Amino acid sequence: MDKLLEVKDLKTYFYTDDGIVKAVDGVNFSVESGKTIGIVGESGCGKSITAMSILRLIPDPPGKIVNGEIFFNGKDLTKVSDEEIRHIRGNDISMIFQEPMTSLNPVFTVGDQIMEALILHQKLSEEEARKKAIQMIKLVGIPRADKIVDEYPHQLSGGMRQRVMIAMALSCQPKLLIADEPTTALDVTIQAQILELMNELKNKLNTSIMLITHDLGVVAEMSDHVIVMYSGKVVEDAPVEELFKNPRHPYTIGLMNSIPSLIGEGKRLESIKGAVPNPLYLPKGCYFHPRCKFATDECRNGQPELREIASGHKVSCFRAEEVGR
Amino acid sequence: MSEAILEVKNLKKHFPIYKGAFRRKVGDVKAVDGISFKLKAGETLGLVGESGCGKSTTGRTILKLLDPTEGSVKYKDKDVLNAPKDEMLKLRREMQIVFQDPYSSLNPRMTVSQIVGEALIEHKLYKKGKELDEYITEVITRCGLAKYHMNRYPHEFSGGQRQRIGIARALALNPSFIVADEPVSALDVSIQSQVINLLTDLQKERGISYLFISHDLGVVKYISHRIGVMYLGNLVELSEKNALFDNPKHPYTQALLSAIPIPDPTKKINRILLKGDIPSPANPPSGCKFHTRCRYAKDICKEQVPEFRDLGGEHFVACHFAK
Repeated sequence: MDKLLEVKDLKTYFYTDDGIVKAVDGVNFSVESGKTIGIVGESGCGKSITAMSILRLIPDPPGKIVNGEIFFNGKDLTKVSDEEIRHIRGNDISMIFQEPMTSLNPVFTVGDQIMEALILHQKLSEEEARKKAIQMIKLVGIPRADKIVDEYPHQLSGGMRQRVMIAMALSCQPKLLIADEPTTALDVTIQAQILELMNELKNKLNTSIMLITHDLGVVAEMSDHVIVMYSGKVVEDAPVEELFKNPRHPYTIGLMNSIPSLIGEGKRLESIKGAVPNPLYLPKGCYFHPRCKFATDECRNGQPELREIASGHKVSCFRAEEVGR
Repeated sequence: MSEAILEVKNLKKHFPIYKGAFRRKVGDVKAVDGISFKLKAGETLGLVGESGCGKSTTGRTILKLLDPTEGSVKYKDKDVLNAPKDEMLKLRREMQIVFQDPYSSLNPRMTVSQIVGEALIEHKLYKKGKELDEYITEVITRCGLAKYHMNRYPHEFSGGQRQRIGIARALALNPSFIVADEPVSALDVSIQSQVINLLTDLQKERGISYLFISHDLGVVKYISHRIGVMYLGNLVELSEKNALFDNPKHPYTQALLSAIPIPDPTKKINRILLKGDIPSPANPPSGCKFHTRCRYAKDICKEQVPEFRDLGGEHFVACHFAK
């Protein structure tokens, strides 16, 4: 398969007054063209920072990509010039953010904001860009596109704003769409509309999608491949069917067992005890061991490597062979 | 199950809209527009619906945190909405609320023991001192916190722990009814399950009734005995949870349930996609409020408000065509 994006041993650290936060610490994964990869994990596990590192949107200082390579179409994005990365952002790779209200500019109309990228990257004239913007608004299923184009973000509902974000992100026909919790702020019926729309556009335009979410339901439905992150590291990496049928990392298993609809009636939810560790004071050994019921002395002292236990299924756990759901 | 302890009848809450220099009233936002239900002792009633459907307003109006426009709320045969002050004070002890946002619902300048103990002192159940401290310790330990947490401030806790403080505050007065307004929505999944387990354990131990408000249908199905579905300020369906999930009668419920993503990649669901957004509650559609998005809508739906009727087995639906 041809890999559109390949992330190799990415490390993004934040140098704060209190110490170094290893937000992303040696992450490896790749995205094939036309496929969707799901990145799952709880708040603070580094999933958004991974996405922002790809587009070099990490505020520096305090953040810095200290190691690793990010190959996109054969080019290493960590090494290209600022001008080149600006050309890639919004053109070859675009991003949808979680909160559509804070990521749209309140003082410009929806049309202006979609047109900006078109004029900048595609070198369209204002008139052409406006036509294209209206066309994109129609494409994402917003009625009265020729009126909406002149409205401001506050005049739209949450679902509509997220559609505008998608229209904006897709206007230049990017090869990779990074969607960071695109439906978390939305109601389920609207979420269903947005996911459907993303899938439709993926098939129509052959865009690859990197979907960041904490909702295992959304992941199961959208992705071809899934990686699970915990405290800045990838703990499990597998094709979607394999991951749900045969999860091997105790954290992944714990996540699945804490979802009511996967557990069934009357059974007690199994919760993962404790909370995500403070990134400034990570435990010794496997980062998950204080919360893991399978932990042994080996886990308390050594850090497990991500290793392949079945074809295409990688886990970082010493006891992956013994644990199961 | 036993008698109803809470009875809500035709409850309405309209928020006026003012406009212009003279603050003339130009209309109403009909947040809750006539809902009725009963809640039994030891039962959990789940209330679901999309944002803006009035589920939180319902919860708050029942507790008289908001003054209702119309309707009645009876708690153990006492009229909550017209209770005199001293009676209301007693009722407040029995009816508590847990809020959604564990960050803004705790006073940042108060310690855990002050937060949990405030109501106890206010209701003159305890005086400051050793006894109170012991009781607070007991309550917070039950909620999964430790004694050494007592003198800490909310900012020192994680989201899940803060939600436990919120639950401990509600629990301290030993209530028999708690409105849980999206208590787990702001939490990560692994933490969510800890809080859900705590709520169900407390119910088993003390027979507390919950009005559990949430937009997460998976959680609601897990925790509730019966579920009510709201749309634009009205209940459109109310039933025992399995009857509702296995055999939803209202077209809105059907669409809502089919929209839940299933965490199983091998299953493909037949999704009913709703068109458009929820209409504004300031200017709701005539007749059945759902007719603008309903795929079965006929002329009668535009004109007549459907009755909320029992289809048998206490399965209530507000739709002209439901059978």
